[in-house]
Amino acid sequence: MTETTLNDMQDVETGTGREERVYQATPAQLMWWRFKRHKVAMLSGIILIAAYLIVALAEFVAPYDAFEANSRSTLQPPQAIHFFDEQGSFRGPFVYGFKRGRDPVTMRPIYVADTTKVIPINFFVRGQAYKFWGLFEGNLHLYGTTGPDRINLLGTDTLGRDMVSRLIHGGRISLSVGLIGVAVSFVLGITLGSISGYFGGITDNIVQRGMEFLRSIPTIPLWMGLAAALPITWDPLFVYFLVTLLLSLIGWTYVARTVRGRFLSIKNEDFVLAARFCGTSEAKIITRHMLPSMTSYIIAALTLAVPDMILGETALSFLGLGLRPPVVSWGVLLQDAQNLRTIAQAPWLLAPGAAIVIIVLAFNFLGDGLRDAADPYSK
Amino acid sequence: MQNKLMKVAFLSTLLSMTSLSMAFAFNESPMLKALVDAGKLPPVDQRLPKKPAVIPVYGEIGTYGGTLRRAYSGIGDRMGSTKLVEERAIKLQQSLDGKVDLVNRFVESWSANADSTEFTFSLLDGMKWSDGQPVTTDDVKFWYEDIFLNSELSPAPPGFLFSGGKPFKLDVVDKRTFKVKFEQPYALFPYVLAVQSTGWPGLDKPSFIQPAHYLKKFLPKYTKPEELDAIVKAKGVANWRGLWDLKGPIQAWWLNPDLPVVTAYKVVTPPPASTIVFERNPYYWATDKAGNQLPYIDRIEGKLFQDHQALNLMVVQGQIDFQSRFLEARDYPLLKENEKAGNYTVHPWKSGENLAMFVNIESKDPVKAKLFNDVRFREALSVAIDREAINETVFSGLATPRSASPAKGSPYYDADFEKKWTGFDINRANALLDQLGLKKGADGFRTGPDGKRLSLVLETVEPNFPPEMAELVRQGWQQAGIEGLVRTVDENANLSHLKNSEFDVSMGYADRLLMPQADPTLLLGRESYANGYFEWFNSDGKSPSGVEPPADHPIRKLFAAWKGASSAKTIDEANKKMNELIGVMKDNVWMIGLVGESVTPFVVSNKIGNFPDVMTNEEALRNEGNAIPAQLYFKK
Amino acid sequence: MISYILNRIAWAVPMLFLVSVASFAVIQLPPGDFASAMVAEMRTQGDVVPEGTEERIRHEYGLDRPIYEQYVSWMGKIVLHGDFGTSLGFNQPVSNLIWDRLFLTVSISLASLILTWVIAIPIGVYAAARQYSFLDYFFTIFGFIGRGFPEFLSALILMWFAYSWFGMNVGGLFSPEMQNAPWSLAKVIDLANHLWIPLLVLASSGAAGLIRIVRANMLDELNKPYVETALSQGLTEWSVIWRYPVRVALNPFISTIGWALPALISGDVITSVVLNLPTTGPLLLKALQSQDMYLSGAFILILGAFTIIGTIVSDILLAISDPRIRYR
Repeated sequence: MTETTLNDMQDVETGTGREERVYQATPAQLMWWRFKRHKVAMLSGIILIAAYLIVALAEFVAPYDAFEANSRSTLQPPQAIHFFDEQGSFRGPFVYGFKRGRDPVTMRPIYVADTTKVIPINFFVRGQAYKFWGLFEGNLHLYGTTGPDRINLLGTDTLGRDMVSRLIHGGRISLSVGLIGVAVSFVLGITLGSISGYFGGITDNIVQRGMEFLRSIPTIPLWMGLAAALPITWDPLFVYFLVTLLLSLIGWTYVARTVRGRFLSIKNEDFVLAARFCGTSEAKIITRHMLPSMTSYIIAALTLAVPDMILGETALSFLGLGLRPPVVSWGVLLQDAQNLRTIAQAPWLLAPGAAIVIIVLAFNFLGDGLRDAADPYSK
Repeated sequence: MQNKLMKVAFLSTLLSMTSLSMAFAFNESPMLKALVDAGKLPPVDQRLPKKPAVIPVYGEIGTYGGTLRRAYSGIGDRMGSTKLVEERAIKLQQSLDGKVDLVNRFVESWSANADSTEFTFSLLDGMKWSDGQPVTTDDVKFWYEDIFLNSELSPAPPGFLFSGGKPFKLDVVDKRTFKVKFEQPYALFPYVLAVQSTGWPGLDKPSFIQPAHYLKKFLPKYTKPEELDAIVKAKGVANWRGLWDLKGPIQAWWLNPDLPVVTAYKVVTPPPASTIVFERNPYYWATDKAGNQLPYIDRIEGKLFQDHQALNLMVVQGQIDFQSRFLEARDYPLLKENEKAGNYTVHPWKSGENLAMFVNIESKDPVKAKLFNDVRFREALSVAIDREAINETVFSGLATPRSASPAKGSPYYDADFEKKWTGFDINRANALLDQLGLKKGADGFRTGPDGKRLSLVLETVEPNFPPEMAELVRQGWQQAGIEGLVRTVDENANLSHLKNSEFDVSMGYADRLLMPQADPTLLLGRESYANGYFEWFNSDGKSPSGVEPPADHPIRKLFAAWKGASSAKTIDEANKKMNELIGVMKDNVWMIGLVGESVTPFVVSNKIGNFPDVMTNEEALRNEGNAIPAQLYFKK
Repeated sequence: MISYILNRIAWAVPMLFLVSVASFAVIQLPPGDFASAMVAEMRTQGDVVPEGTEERIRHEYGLDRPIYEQYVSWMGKIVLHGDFGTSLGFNQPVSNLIWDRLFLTVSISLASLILTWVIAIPIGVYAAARQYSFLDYFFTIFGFIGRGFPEFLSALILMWFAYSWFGMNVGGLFSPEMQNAPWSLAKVIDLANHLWIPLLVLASSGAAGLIRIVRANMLDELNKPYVETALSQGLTEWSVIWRYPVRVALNPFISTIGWALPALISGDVITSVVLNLPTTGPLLLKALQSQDMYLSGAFILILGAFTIIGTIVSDILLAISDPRIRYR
């Protein structure tokens, strides 16, 4: 119905050889073909795969761990990668060393690139030791320097910690544990919403009153109580998991209410009634017939929930529920950036926000692409 | 010996008396002049005392007028406004060379007897409340009998007015003169009075005086129950006691525009308004040396803010004329960079406070208690910290690594103590811990005698301490093989942990280190490293929450030293005991200092004159009040 | 329908009771109470707090009584006298504090809510009708940029740029000189000059999400055969879109519209805090943190009531917008 789809249709239907292949293809193959045409979705898929690879191999890809501080290079701006030096001769990828000083009046750290100091970027270097996934010892890093100089492509934070490394290590947590919460809250929201809308009556009443109740209970004292009750010796990762789980147990109501409203309106439509008369089970009617009619909504709500969940923890860390070393997440990184001095003087510390935006956009476009591919009407 | 105290008293009397011959014509603000001309206010020489107190100006004689714009954080932020204006009998004043002296405020003179059991004060002659009523010893008597000794209003009267376990006795001599008599010698009393008579009972209850003519009608003793009930209803409080005290809509100075005060300003629009307003007190009893009635500035406004960043935004936009409260050292570069745009200057005042860590020597964990009480362990904890890194990262290099010892300018300053254990020396830390038999395992962490990993919870308070600080301490300890678990809590939880000794190591401010003789409770362990021991000492073993220290515990020496200082007959004797006390602190270092003397950014509009450039930001000097706001003025 | 509404209202009473009990219990969860919080605050303020103050405050306010007793006396006053009690922190009747701020809060929230709809619904509809067009991508990316940063941070960033790039006066609702002035035309103009930044901040964060939702709902609807049928009958594209799919697509939006009601009262807490708006949101936050139980209790009760009313309103609107909906 939109221009893009019309063009794409012509694209497929030219040439008889192709036509034949279309007729013989399995639904999965058809979906894959349709998906491949969706360039943005393809790109998004690739970005997501790359992102997950990077965070899976975090110890190897990141040049340093997330915490190594360096008081001699605090708030250092990002370093530009060069290939040719001042004289114009090719030196491979390298960065210039920084000379650190302080503005005598404002006391702000100043960094001046020292063009006589070429720090080559080496690949597959031996560097800081780590324990890969807490299991295997190693010290091989994708990139780094061989000398004493450090390389901070995205700059450093107030403690002189490398932002690239923090971003990668933080991503591992935010893109895994962080998203469990999204999944839980959607399963809950869709299940309870569908049941409430489909069956109506007393079921609806119970679910709806439960939701009202949940929404009326203040959460801040809940978190404050939790922060005090959780033993500090517990594994921070587990605590974080618990927090996301709780966030999702509270956060499902919007989705549930929306799904329910939608179900109320379509449960008497022809296609639902038809399915019911054919004796299709209620679970099947809901999952196969009713929910698919709102895929776009579910994708949109899901992609909106991802940043909310990643950031949800930001608001909690001031209550003492944030992650603590040796774990770091994007939410924690952004928590440290919520002030004017960062915005005005060290904007590179906002990088985790950019990372979230990229990941969420990728999820969104991938979702759109998958939906289009799966939708028999869109072809 | 005693003559030194007398000399101080004499000097300060001199300060306020270098005064004005009566031939002198007094000046007043045009704002008040208009009221006088309209017949709504008596002329200025009838409003001032016969011999007004003279407040020295930091620069030149100022001009009248203007509104000083500030920010306040809500109804809990009483001190922000109070410290600007509060008045007391005598106070500590810092001069431009950094020295701190006792000066007289609303008393013309005071003196002490030979063994420091009796102090005589004389109020300014002809001094008046802000409603024009005279201030006399009737007001002193009212405060003493109906408030201080009234167990309904003061179930726990402030301890500094007690000696030998008994409250002082008041002796009214005449309309202007009264004597304060103590059970035991109390040579430090003038200093204690100068520091502790603030806040509680401070400006809300200024030292010794309360406006009897106004407040009487809010006490059951003087008022019929039904009249009092009507007032209680109108104010919406639970009972008549609800009218009183810090938050009482009658007695709290900054909540009640009708309350007569003796301060330079009185409240006009009280909190929780989004802008609170204070206006000059037409009866303020001080002038500059040229006879101009102070203050120069007519009004002070405080704009409500809820977050530090909102305050920073107000500052850089030039909406703030005078503020250091709530501004942070780590924002110094940001504030400094926007000076031009906001037409202000950031003055680098030195903080008298020290950032420190309290080590819980009363730990309920026997393994930790043993370690925390071992001086070698505390040294290891201290030297494993890279204080230079803390200074660089959190304080823009503007602080000084130092121990929790008396501040520079303090009579008990000890350069050696100041630097004790402040160097970064991981090898030393490791050697000490090895000596203690704490073995390092393969994972790099040490094992305690109980066979468990040695791990300490480092408590830090949001938002008082930058999280980076705790992180650097953690990293230092880790190098020495001690696992630090950083726990962020709010003030409420932190205080309760300190009170009940339920913590390992807590971040804290080691403040009141300039004049520790006036308020040494923190040094003695109160709400810091040994609250139980302190309560035991302070209540003579009577308090149920007190914990008696072991017989050979060095803290007993500390308590003995303070006991000696607080009942000394002379200042010299008291100082000797105080030095002993500091010596015990130095030998034991229960509070591990991190950095101190950091810069407190002080934002002052370029239109303001007479602001003293570099002074000390310290509790005992009343922080922002140390700039003497009454003598600030707007340049024309 | 009438009986349905009556039934729902009857349900509201036990619900409110349940909410009040649960809230009262939840407020007690954090360690310590108002007395310890107040002493801690005084200590931070630099007060030397005399021994025994905490116990005295606790006793004075009856916080040492059993929790059910406190609940009964609190609830009793509300039900019998409409008296919400005294805020411990402010030492003022709770109702004074809330009503003072309510007008401003509701006006700002309402204005920003309407602005959100005005921005989000047309854009969402357009983005769906012109899926994968330049503007669609533009709004998608723009929207997610807003969502990728914590609200507090995005508000701060917006304000910083408004100030440093455009030299605008940001934060608060009035110029300093207008703050305590009586209402006048000048003050209204002054308010309007300051209001648009908070409105923009509030509306843009809400709109980013709503655009996505409206667009998605439209896509679900536009793919349905009846749309193509209508188009094939010669109706113009936009008249088809506005007449049918939009109405259906707003269903999910109407489902949760009622919950905007409590949000109107509480305002947007985080944004109000950073924008320095004297609304009720920060008051509630402060009350919860300082364990000012009667103030927070009253707030939560009011919010709970509005949540329940909001749900009823939503359900009624759902039925009106879509005649196919039956609740039984």
